[in-house]
Amino acid sequence: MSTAANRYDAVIVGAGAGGGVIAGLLAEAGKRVLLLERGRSLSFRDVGRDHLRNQRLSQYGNNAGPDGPDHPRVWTDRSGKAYTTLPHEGGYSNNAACVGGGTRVYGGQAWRFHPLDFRMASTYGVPAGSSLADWPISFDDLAPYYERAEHEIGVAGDAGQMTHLPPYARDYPMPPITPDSASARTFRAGAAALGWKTFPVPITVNSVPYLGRPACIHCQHCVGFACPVDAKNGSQNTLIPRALVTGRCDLVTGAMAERIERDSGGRVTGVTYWNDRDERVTVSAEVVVAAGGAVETARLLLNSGIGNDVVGRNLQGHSYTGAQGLFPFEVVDGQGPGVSIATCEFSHGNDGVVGGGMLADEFVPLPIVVWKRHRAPGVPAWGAEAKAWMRTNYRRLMRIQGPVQDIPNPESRVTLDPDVRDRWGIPVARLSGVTHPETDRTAAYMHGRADQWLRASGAVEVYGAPPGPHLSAGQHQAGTCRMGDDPATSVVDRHCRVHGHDNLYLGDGSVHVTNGGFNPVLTIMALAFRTGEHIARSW
Amino acid sequence: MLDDAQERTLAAVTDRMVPPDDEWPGGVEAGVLDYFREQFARDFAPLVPEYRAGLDALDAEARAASESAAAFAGLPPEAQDALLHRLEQESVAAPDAWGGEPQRAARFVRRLAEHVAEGFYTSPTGRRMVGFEVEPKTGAEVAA
Repeated sequence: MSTAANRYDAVIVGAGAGGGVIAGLLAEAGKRVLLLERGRSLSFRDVGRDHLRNQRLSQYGNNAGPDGPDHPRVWTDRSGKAYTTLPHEGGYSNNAACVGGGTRVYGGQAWRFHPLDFRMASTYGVPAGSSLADWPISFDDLAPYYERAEHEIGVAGDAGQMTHLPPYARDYPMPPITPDSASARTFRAGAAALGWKTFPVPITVNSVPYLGRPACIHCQHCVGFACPVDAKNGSQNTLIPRALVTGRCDLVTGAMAERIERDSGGRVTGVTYWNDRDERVTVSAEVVVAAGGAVETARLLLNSGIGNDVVGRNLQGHSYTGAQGLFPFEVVDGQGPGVSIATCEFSHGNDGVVGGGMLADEFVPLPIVVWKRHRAPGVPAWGAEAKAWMRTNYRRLMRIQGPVQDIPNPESRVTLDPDVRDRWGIPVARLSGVTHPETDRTAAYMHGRADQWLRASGAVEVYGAPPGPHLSAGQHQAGTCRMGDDPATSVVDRHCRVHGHDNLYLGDGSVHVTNGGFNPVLTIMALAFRTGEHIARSW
Repeated sequence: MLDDAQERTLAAVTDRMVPPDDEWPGGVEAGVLDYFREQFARDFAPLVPEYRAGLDALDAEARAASESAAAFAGLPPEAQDALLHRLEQESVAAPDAWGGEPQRAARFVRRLAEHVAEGFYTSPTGRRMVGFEVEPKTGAEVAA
């Protein structure tokens, strides 16, 4: 729909992983909710299967928004030179903009952070130039909400094998997906030879029918695409439908939020946005939740004059680190989603580096992605030899990789660009900064571990380099409105409420103090369950 | 977008970049020229002048290298490969055709290789060849 009433109990900006969850909880708690989303509700056919325009390879466009030139950003390179950039281009750090947000097209790895991920400063000290800090809440505070997310969104996995974590109160609601894939068998044997423990990757894909939707059919288009049978679980097919079925939630798409309105004191009074008929609308609300992702939420707060100097700082994502291995046998069996085995041997406790990360195998790769990114050194760019190499080796190639925990720094940040405006005349986000040297050092360490695992598993050739300094944000963007007890050094309190504003909450990765050595979406969802429950109970 | 001579040259280059073999078709049969046609009207639109000039230049190179050749497409496959490899090294025989900038020749060959690969490895043929496609399991998958 495109029409909203004038007044709601709560307005939520952004229908992604966090916003969708909070909408569901508030609507079920009896609140009248307006859920604003700048993108659209996308069908399977809308998302399509274009291998050059998707959320995995955005060579010439993307398939899940935001669309075209309406939503530019600016990013700056290491020398400070600024570039205006579009959503599918490098530097933009796009996450999907549609109903469900990134969860519409994600891979769906559903990790609980490690307990030490919440205590990075206490564990490692604070490296010079970094803003490393502990979370004000602990793993134990979040555990019940991880569990809710696992059961109410739907995660397949085996809790009994997650021995790097405190014991789960409840197992995952579904057994692991493809736990015996060709890749899993290969890397299980390699890890055993090294004495490393492995386990199935927890994932938001139905391994058996669940919550009224079918099991995965193991097609090859998972990460970056929509599911043809709706077996991939995101907010768009769980908490948002739960919100809508109450009759108390209006979902308005094509809605671009311009600013959060407030009174002369500390209370916010509503949201001004542009609807899909280019009309500027102000709706009033008792509670506002900003959940547009770490980049857009920071931008919205800055455009609203809300928050302190910390807003926009500590932008982080993940240094995705790994290596490519070429095997003398097939390690890709073509059964999606593909990612099936992981190790957390190196999440923490690594000599001489700060933090670490999880390592896992890869989703079924698109052939053009292998061609563009994963050709072995020396393979020619064209001709009979190049063709033969791809034919022989596509199924013999596997990537071991994982998200290395970023060590945040305050100079990696979102600000408002002084010149560039979006289609509605709203100042756009300007991204700047590079990874902290400790992040790059940990990434190099993890690259070595990926190399080791590949070789122990039988790879005859291993290649690829760890990432150097770069602007880290992307689909795992986080940190721009960090949580903390001290209003001088954080943006939100331990309930994700913005300091100084009784009725303004954030519901996305922006509140992450650190982003863990794991894909962050389950943590975003768990925090949203916690925040939604807190709002409903305290009001 | 392209004239007939340019079309012929593009087809010839496409089948050198992904040549047919005993088991699998080459780029042309896999539909790479359709990919170019779509993209010239879309993302490659800004590149059309470069493509026209570059394809003309490949013919000029062919004539400069062989007195008997009228165009790139008329060369034997081995000579076509040798010509493209030479251009990758910025070694040009018809410098005027590249505006006096041999690096343009190398850049054009690199661009061609990338775009031909995009067309081939996103085509049903290229996807089947590497083993990406597996049997669909449901009606919905067939419809997709």
